[in-house]
Amino acid sequence: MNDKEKYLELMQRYFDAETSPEEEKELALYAASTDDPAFRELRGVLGYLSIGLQKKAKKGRTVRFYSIVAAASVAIVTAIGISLLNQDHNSCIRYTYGNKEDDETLIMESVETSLADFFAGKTPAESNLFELFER
Amino acid sequence: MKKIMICLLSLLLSTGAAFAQKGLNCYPVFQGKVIPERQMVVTEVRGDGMATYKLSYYRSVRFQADTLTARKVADLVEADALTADSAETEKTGELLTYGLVQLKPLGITRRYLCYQARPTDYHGWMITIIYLEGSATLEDLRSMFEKQ
Repeated sequence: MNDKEKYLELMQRYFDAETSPEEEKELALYAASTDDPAFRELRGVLGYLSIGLQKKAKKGRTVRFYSIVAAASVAIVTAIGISLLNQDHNSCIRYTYGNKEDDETLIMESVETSLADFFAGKTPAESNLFELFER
Repeated sequence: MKKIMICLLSLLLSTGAAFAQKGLNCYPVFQGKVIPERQMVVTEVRGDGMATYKLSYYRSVRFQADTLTARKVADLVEADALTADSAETEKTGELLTYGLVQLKPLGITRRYLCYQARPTDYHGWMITIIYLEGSATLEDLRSMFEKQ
């Protein structure tokens, strides 16, 4: 049995779905290396399959790429949304019984007084006593 | 892919930190749901203004309340103190009159809740609650104000 006959038989078995992956690989290599018209149909099928595989691989990559882009977009939009809700990174504002005030100097003075009240070490019991005696 | 996901998560977490107060029991007080905002003095300072104190965020509410409301507010602060890293509290009778609560940090951001109730002339209480965020430790804050 010469090469051609061997591969013609293999081709027949291939179309009958009786070949192993190794045999299919060997057959594909042979079909690619010969111009014999007897293998034209096989080359066509293999060519179609290989294009299909390439497309599938490309499609897989494209889907993954778009998934990342979609996830990134959602995260960025969410982050921007949260940031916009919390827009003023430098803000200084006071509402005194509903009235808006924005005198930074006055507000910062009251902030300092309030913080000092808590952290200066004067105990609240002492503060309350002072207040009671002042009355 | 992993690096992208880590970057995205960091981005979300950093912006989410802005809403740290939300998890607190006393958050409704800051929202004006216990005492209406029109009856409070609400101060909010964010950013550079607080940098001197190694803080990044300050929000305070001050209001007058009757004993019943004062107790309600005090209960909320006490609930926060229970889950906090540390808390110094003081009571007058059964009412919490002082609380310095070091809340659990949010990442590297330290958080504090300061509470004070002082008696007023009208048998009520003047209540002040401050929420703080920043890098300052309790010692930093104490030493900053002790010097003044």
